Amino acid sequence: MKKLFLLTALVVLVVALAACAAPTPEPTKAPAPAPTTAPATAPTKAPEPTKAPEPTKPAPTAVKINNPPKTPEEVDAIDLTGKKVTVTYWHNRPQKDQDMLQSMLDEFNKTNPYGITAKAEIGGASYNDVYNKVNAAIQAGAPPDISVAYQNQAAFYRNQGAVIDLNPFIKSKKYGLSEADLKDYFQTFLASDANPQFKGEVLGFPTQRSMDVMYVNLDMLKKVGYDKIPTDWKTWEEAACKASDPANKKYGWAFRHDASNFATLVFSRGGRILAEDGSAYVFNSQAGIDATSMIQRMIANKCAVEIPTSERYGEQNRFGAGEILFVFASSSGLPFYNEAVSKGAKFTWDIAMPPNTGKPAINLYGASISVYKTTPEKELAAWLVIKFLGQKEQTTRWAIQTGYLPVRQSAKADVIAAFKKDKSWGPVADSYAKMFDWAQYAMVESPVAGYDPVRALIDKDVMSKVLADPKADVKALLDAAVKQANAILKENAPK
Amino acid sequence: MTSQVTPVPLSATRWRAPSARRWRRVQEIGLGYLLLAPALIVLVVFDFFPIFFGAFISTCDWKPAAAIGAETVLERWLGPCVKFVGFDNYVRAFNDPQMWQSLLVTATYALISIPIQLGLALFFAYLLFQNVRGKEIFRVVFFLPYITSSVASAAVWSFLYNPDKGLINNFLITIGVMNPEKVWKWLGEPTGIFTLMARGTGVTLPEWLGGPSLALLAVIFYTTWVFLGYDMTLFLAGLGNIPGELYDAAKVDGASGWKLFRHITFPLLSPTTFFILIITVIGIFKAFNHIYVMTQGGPGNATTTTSIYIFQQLYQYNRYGYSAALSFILFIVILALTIIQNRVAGSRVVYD
Amino acid sequence: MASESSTIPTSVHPSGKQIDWVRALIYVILIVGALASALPFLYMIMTSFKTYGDIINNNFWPWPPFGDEALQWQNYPDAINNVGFDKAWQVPLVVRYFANSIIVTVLGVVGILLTSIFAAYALAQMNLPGKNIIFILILATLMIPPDLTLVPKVVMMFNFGWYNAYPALIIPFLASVFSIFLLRQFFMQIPKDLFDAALIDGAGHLRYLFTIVLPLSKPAVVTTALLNFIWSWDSFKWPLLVTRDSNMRVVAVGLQQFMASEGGTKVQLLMAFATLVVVPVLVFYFITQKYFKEGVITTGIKG
Repeated sequence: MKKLFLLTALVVLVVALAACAAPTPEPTKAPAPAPTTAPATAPTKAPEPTKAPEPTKPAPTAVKINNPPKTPEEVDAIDLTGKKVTVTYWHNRPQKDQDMLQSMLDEFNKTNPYGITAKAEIGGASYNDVYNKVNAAIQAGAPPDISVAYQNQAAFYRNQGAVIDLNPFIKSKKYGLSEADLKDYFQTFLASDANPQFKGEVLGFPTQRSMDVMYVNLDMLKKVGYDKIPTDWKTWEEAACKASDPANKKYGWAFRHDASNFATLVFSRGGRILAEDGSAYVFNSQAGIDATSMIQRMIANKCAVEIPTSERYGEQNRFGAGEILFVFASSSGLPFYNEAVSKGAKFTWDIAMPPNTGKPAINLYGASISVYKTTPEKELAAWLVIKFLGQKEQTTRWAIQTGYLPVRQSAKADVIAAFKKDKSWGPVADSYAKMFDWAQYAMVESPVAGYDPVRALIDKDVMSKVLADPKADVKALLDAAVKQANAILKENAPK
Repeated sequence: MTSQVTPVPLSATRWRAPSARRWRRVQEIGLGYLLLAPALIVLVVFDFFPIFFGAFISTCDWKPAAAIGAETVLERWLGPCVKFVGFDNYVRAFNDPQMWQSLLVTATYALISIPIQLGLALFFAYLLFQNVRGKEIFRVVFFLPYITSSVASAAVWSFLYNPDKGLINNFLITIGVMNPEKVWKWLGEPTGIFTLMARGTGVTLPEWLGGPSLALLAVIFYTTWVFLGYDMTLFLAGLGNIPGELYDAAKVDGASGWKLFRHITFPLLSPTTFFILIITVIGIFKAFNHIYVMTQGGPGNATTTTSIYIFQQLYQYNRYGYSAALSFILFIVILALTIIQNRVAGSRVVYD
Repeated sequence: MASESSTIPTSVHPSGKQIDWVRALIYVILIVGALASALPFLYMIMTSFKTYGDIINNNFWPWPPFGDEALQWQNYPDAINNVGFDKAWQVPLVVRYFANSIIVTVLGVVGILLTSIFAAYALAQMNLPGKNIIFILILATLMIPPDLTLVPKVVMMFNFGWYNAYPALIIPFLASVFSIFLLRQFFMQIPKDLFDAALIDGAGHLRYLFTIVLPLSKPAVVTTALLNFIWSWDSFKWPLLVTRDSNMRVVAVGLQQFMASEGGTKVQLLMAFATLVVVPVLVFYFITQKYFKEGVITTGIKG
């Protein structure tokens, strides 16, 4: 009897200890707006009757700070002294990058005058993963303070009222960015974050960017008789078909059938995924038809091989083994492709802008950082962390480590120099430098809420169908998909 | 059940003995319920109550975030029901082609798995039953897949199935069975196998005749690999329980081989077969880990079983109410199946 | 009485040559089957000793005698370090994953054993009013598919404040109907006379349970422990839903997450991690082999 009692008590004790020991994040309570009073100023003297009356400045009234703050004045009025605010940042990079990110944030923690402590965490294995986790965390009442988020994901959060508009922070006199600072940012990078669905609210701010570039196996290109990387689609397709040798598992193009690759093809043919004003999906244009037909044709002719989702990083690994001539993939993959090639077949390779039909265009990747609705103090602290990460030194270090593009033009020279100095990059360092010129042609897929289901739609109802059937009616598939996409757009419109 | 009568000394007066016995009885009942209590409490709180709570959730537009910072207990538990929608979620489910597709995928999974899994397990059990040397070693090895973490083994199989660098395709190409120009994409192939086979002969089949996708078959093959040892062990035990005299008697009558199997072995194995059938069906409806790891329900919807679909609605789309409604629909389906199964197969089970 | 392995007669005449043929074929088939069962494990271990280059270049056997590479033992520490680092406990994340799994699994199995042994004993050996109703209700729980209670249980974790904490991983699973059922079957086979004898010796139910019933039920108890250990070690869907931070993950979730990121391409590291996940259960299995076989058979037949 005693043994039983002791055993049960032991189990209960351990369970209780475990329950208490595990840190449970405090669910953020619905914050109450904290009104602060501005110091009263002395009334101005009445003007002398003979002179023209001077306009008097109105006495400043007490500023009521909303959550989230709606005007730069409200942001200016937030007081962080003594509050010791902490900021948690969820990102999706591997451990090496996490270590570097945290070391940068440690500097921020030491030097910022507001007592803010920032912490970086690997929130998920991919952007999608972070998105799922953040959604769950929002429901549980325990979101991070900031996280990476694509524009359409930020819009989805905004629909739930979970993220805030950063305009007041950017424009704040005390804490914001000056005109000069804002001009130092690459303008296309900034533009992609102003959301058309929410009347230009800025739902995220960039600290990194990348692009869907074309990886090219230069040795293979030369072997099939081309000295220069093709810049138009016709030559490109010819080269890919010449390089294909399916019996030896070699293909001109390793194609991962996701919506982003599709978008790259559409942009470079002068088309768009979403109309510029965000009112409708337009990827069934001639550009879309041509892009889809090319995919259909090249797969049927075995000039391209489809990489199924179940073959993870298949395009990267096959490229590294020297089996593929062209791949379209994010420039943030540069360090990974570098490693794959140097450990793999060790050939000369380079990156280039995708071919186009006259007007250059490139698909802009790289999520921004969104701020979640918590308390005005935390939100301000979060903004300051983002501002810090966007400063020249930080964005430079981050770019050199990860292969992302820095977001400031002033960082360009240092980053390029670092790439050139690192011999292991070879000719890729020069191409990396070229990416800054490509930035002006950058386009974004679709920054509106509900884009993820549309991506799935494009993949399943268009891409997969043409891959399976060389005779599928491309125009009909695209029209049907656009119709469904517009229905999804309406369903997810802000209420 | 023998009554717990403790011998009472004759010297005790009659009026004392009954209450002592009754007190002991009360003690026993109290102890009994005390012993049952922990299990019952956990089951009631975490298995019974959730059924009703889930039914409630399924009638709501449920947003947990709405109750954050709620002050009273009632607000916390009822608050997320932002809007009462009655049966809307169920109506939506019935009109949802993806829901029906997921049921179809689950049914296909079951209908194909079961004969293959049980057939192979019985076959190997039968072989192993032939006074084979090293029987224990074989049994242990066959059992390994069952005890390994499904996430780990599914991860390994994902790479075995890799179209470019996976062991399976490399092997098939090496022995000349597979054409390197036409490698099979296994887990990445959403096309039905009949369509694939017809393509080989130049015929194009309509989509609805396509048959189960190669991806689903690849998952089924994995499942067979996992459960072969477990089912085989159960069959072995079942075989061992058939009295040897029956065979001797039948042999005297001149029966042999296949006749023996058909008239003695198989019927007497039916309780075991029935049991394995039930747990296999339950397992298929619950199947999740390996599908999530290997294909995440893809490509497209090819391997999206209802269990995966319910999870997706909850985890990716945050549709709590809808996910709950789907789970009730699945429950009804399972219930109906179990009743049918009991009627049909139960009548065929032979007990000695 | 049925024998353990009676020879089912074949239709072949007992001519020496032909039986040898058939027996040889039987062995061949069995060996092929065993190889098929074991092959993925061999592949996993082999791959864990390759380099990243071997993965990309598709080298099947880079070691002697066909190559001259060494076994890449450092894949194991590399995998442990690449997965991440837990600042809270100052250990590699993989260590934290294993610690979490051990905590959850051990406490879970102990909890299940306690609740199930007690409940099964009460149902099997004690004379309680309403016992049969309770047993039927418990059996009815077996009918409940886990998906049915998934959503409400997740919401309950939010409401109890257990989200992203150990209680969410442990407490809902402290009772197992299957285990109660299995143990009850076993307990019911113990003759009542033994209890009467114990009673005369002055023992009550509990003493009887611990000193007589349990020792006799070792196969059932070990099987219950092993099966629940295997299932708990494998739990994936639930932890994925109720944990948020990477340092609260269990090994199954950690492995899948690694596969979705770097492990998806650095397969050699993923296989090293997978090997680490698989080994503890294998060890436990080999230790408890004897009891386990008896336990599985008992569940199967008396089904």
